[in-house]
Amino acid sequence: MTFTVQTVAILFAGASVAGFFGALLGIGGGLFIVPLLVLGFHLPMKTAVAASLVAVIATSNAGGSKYVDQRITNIRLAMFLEVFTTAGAILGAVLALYLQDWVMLLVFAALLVNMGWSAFSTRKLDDKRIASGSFAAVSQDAVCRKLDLRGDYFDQAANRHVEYVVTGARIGAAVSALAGIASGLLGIGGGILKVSAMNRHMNIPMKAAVATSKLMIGITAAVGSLVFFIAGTIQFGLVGPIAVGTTVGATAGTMVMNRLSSALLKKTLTFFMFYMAYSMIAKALQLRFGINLPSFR
Amino acid sequence: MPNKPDLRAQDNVYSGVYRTLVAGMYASTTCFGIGVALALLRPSTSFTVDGAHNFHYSAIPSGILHADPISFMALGTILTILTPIARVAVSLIAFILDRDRTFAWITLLVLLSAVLSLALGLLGLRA
Repeated sequence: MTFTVQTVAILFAGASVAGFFGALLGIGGGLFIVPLLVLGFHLPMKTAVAASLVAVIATSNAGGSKYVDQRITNIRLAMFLEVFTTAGAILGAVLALYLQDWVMLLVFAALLVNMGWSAFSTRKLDDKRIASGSFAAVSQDAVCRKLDLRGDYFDQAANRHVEYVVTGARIGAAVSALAGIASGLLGIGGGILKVSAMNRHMNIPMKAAVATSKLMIGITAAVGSLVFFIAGTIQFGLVGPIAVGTTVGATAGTMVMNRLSSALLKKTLTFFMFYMAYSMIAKALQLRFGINLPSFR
Repeated sequence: MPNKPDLRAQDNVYSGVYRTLVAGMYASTTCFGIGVALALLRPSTSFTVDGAHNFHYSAIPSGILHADPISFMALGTILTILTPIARVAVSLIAFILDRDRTFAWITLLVLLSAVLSLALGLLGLRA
């Protein structure tokens, strides 16, 4: 593959879109980059996934830094959940030796459908709760109280200061571990699961969940990338334009996210969750039964 | 209503994490940008996409001295990957400086888990 202005422009544009939506939703953006490389450039899946992982880190560095600067990210919460995500990634790497991919794909697809529906059905709830201030009026569980997990940020769309307390440490830890397992087992980011779980089960406003997830995905992707790096699978020439694109896109996304309503963010998140669930089901059917559904992954 | 979180007490953590991420982002993006620009100036620049490449990281310093585009992009990749790991390490130092023992231990656990996860991934490669 040679460098041409056209090739670089397409990679840059596609990656910018991935970085933009990744920053809006707290996800990595591999959902966009892998299909672009596999379908658009006919690259092998392994090459595409390796390049995509580096791009995910780039978007986490860019988006994560902006959200930390804006104080939307909850660093203590991120650190608490990262313990379970990285432990889950270890478990996923071990499980990969014993479990069949198609079974795990169906399990995660079911989880995504469930959480996607939950995000959609509660799409208007965040804005109402921000207006009433009820995010701060929840009793914490013992773990969150002991770790003093709470936070606040300024919501530009609602034009008010939002305070919240964190609860549901156990279920948050469990979903973070599942996201880590998915990362170790299936090579997906898991940000989409974490954002939904934080918002649904841990009493964290959507925007704080997005910002916290954006910071968290970097470390999981970095570990995966190091493995690819040492294996020599990362094509640096391919990574260059993609990483610049995701960085630019993520920076733009962070400027927009806080101005959007939580309801719009949740609707967009639901769309991507259902899309990812469909891709997983299609992949599982292909692996187990040889059935080929239209799919972009 | 809970008390307002004492964000000033977390200033070391927030500023440390922010500075690490921004430094990593600018350094890696500069490397990628130079690499892409050089590659476009040399239309013969290409990269393989099947299987492992032959590029070794020890070739990066001499490659950069010779304005090799792939070497610049390789350096950008390394800086990108190391940034989140450095971010966790900086958080650990900041929590220690803040005398926040609980979160210092939690952060150390994250670092150790990342190392263990990496070791398992490498073992899997060799298996």
